[in-house]
Amino acid sequence: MINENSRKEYSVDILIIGAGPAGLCAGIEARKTCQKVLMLDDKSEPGGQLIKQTHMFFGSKKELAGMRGFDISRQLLNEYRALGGEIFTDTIALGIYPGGIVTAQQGDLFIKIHSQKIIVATGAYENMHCFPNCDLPGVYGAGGVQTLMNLDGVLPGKRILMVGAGNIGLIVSYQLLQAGAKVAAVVEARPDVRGYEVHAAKIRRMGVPILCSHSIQSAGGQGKVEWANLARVDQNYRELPGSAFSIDVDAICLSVGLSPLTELLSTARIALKYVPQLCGLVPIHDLNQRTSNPDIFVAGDVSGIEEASSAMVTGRIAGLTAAADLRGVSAAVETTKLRDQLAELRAGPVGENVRIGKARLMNLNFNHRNFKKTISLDSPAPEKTPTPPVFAELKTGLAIECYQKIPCNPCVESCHRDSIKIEGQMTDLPSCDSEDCDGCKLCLVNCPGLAMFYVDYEKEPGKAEVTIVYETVPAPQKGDTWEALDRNGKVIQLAEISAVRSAKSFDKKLLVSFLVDRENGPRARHIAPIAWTGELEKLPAKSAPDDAIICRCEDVYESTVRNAILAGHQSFADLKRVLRIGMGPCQGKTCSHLVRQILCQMTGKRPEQIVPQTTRTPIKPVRLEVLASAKILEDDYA
Amino acid sequence: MRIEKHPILEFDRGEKISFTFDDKPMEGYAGETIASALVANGISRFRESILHARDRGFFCGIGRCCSCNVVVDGEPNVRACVTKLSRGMQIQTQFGKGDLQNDK
Repeated sequence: MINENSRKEYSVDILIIGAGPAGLCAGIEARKTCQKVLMLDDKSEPGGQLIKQTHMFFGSKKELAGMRGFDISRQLLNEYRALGGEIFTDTIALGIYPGGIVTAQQGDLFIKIHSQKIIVATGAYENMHCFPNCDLPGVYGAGGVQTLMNLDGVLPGKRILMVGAGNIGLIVSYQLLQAGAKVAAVVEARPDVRGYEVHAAKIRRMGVPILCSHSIQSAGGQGKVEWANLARVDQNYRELPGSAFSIDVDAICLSVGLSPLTELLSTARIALKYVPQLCGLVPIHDLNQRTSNPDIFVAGDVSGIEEASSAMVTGRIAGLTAAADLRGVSAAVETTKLRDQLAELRAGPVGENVRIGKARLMNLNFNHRNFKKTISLDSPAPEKTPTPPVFAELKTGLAIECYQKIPCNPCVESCHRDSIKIEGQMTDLPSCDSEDCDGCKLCLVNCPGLAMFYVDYEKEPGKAEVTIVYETVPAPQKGDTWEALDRNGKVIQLAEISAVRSAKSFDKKLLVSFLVDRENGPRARHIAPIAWTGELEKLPAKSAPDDAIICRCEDVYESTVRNAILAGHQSFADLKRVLRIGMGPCQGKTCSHLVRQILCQMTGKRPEQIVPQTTRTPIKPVRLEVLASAKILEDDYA
Repeated sequence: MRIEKHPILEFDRGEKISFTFDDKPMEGYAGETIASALVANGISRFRESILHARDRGFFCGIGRCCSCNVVVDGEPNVRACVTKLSRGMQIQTQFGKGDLQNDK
């Protein structure tokens, strides 16, 4: 039934698409000087990925470091609403048309929004990974698992394999452990962990093996995942003969990278460029986050994959600039400060890719009025991740196991005696002057990476008392006897729990102290209930099909794609015509990343040389009933 | 499997409601997604793929991949991961592309 009243129109000054960290911060800044600010989000709860994050964020106080993701989201949302900003939730933007018109679906309504400035903060999507039976029920995207587990409190499995040791893979593994699941292993095809070392250290000491230079070869089971075949791979990710083995798991979680979600920008014909350092096709944008269309801005992951802290800052820059545009003034003073903040977050070795990627984008020979370029590529020489220091000295004090330069400083701010210092930039490493430390241990609770420990050799003769932060279930009680584990989760000895401290300011974390033999003080870093086993059981590899589904919607196998390429169909457009690949309901969001990889591999082209598929509105599946009710744009663009 | 005890999160589960999956009675909570309710009831196969009849379950969890399409009260291609469960829903495994026989 077509409802006559189902067409709704709005007119706003600034429209923000996406209410994640970038969108919310853009909204806050825009709303400070601009009357009509509207934000759209396709979910029922604003906050983007933040609402699923139980871990504490890095960065500095300015980016709300030390707070858990869902608390950051709540705080930003409150701030935006307190300023009188409006949000339409459950509203899916479907396309951007000339003249600042955006169409969207809101339940059964089709709405049309006229805007003067648009800020696109649509975030990113997860890359797919292709292996035989990758489409079997029980193979899940990491984001999907987070939604199920942290929003609805449902665990997708009891024994899980994580594929990918980037930050998301490591964080979701930790969250699975917190939720009571077992993480059988994390596999990473590269020779080293891609995510932050502190995230890796947290799960290692809980007994999760991180298998670098290993990849998933196949999965199998009756109607759902029951096992996975893994193998050791060489530098080119080729399986080493004889290295395959199988492990029993009931779910596989994929975390193999993100790509910027640029479809809406494509509908607005915004210039995009493939920049590998920013993880894919990104909108060309300037220092003020302005795109090739002077009235359209981008913020957050859609402008290149980074951390939530940088997303917030880029959101503020976009919001300030868009609002200043409307008033005909310059926001140079405020945005310069924010850019300094960004530079600080992107400093150091972990920010190197982003620095190079952004420089590549902004140094393009590309111009229109208002496009502010000039960015210098003054990266320091790449630094290797230093090896962990050895805490061999049996001396009472703080053990700061933070040895990778990441943008983070809450420890400094938490020390009431100012004895923790970071010399130089925020990305430099903290150190503690133990003469000044009074052993209050508050820095342990404030370290977002849970990388601080306190070891007391004077508590009891012959013993060392190790204090750690504990935030899993079950919780230990004073007087219990548990297993003490080393940094790799190996059992060292039995340990008596000597203290369990909690406080409101600890934000649900416990400070747990336990006693071990004196010589184990430098290596005991975690505890687990007795009868805990952390060994990975390697079984003989099981037989699996050779071929894998690459396009779920149209049911296209990888071999079919390869044969079509061999037959001469060497572009997205051609493959689409012969195989229907990318024409299903997901519109290529799941497979295009993989098809690009295969095209590159087989044609010798670089990813930036592959012409992406054409994106057309509506970018999400919409009921015809909803579309038909709208008489889309016919008055304006007859 | 439902998480009963979590060190950080408290799950503010809505009212317990009943629904059916392939005519089997099941229980879930108001406010959660169909996908969460099905997985909590031990269901991982949501549909059969269109060409090769391969088993499929939920995958991306954000309404993007359409792997989790099910038939809800006769309407096919409902994305289980972004559609909220409601009382008395009749959910069915989707075979192929779904058909329009129940169209209003």
